[in-house]
Amino acid sequence: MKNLMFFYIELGLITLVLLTITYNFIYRNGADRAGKDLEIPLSFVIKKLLTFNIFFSVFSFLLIIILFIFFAR
Amino acid sequence: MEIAGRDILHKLLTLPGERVLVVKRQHWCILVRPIFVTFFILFSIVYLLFFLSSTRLFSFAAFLIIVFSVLTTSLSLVTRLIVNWYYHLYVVTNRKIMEICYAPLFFHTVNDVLLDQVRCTEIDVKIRGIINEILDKGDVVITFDRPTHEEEFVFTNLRNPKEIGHILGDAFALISTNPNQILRSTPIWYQKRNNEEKNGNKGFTFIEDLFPNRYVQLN
Repeated sequence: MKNLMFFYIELGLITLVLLTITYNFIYRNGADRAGKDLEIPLSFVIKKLLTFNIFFSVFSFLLIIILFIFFAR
Repeated sequence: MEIAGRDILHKLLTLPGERVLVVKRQHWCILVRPIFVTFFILFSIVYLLFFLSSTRLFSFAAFLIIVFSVLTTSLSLVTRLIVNWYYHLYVVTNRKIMEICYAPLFFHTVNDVLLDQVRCTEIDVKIRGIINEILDKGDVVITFDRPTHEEEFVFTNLRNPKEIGHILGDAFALISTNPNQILRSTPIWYQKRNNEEKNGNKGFTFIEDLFPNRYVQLN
C-alpha cells in the first residue's frame, strides 16, 4: 500500500518535470519572440539562464527516471 | 537600469519627430524578495524531506526524486520572474510616455499617454524608507490634468528616481513651451462656434463634460 502510494507520487513528479521541460522550451521561444517584438534582445545572462533551465530539467528528468527504475526495483 | 543604446525601440516610435528620452527598468533589487521566498520554500521542503528520509519513512532515492522535481520547477519560476522584470519597461519620448509590460506566454500590456493630449501639472519623486534611500530606489509620480479629473502615471521602483524626475521635468517644460504642439491653445473638450466665427467672434462652446464612469451630453 505504501509502495503503491509512492509509485503514484513518483509518477506525478515525473509528469511535473516533463511539463516543466515543455514549458521551458516554449518559454524560451516566447522570450525570444518578445525580444524581437520589442527590439530588445535578451541579455546574455538571461539567455544562458533559459538554456541552463532546459538542460537542468532534462537532466532532472533522466535522473528521476533512473532513480525511479532503481526505486521500483 | 537604463537600457544601452536608445536607438533601439524603433517600433515604439510611431509619431512624427518622436525620439526617446528615457528608457528604464525597475530596480533589480525588487527581484530579491520573490527569489529569496522561492528558495526559502525550496530549502524548507528539502530539509523536511531529508529529515523524513532519515526516519526511513521513505528511501533516499525518493528524496532525490522529489528534490530534483521541486528544484527544476523553482528554477523555472525564478527565470520567469527575471524575464518579466527584464521586459517591464518605462519609455519616455518627446511625444508620449509608455509603460510596457511583457510577460512572454502570459500577458502583454502597453500603457500610453500622449503628451499632446494632456497637461502635466506635477512630477513627484518619492523615496520611502532606509533601504530605499541606501539603494536609491523610488517612485516617480506624474500627475496629468484631464478635463474633469486628475490622473496619475506612476513609475514604480526606479533606480535613481531624482535624475528621472529632472529629465521628465525638463522634457515637459520643453513640450509646454513648444509652439508647434497642438496642446495648450485649444484643449480637445472645446470647439469653436461656427456662427460666432463668421461674425469675427472667436468664442468657444463647451460641448461635453466627462466624468469618470459617467457621460453627460450638454447642449
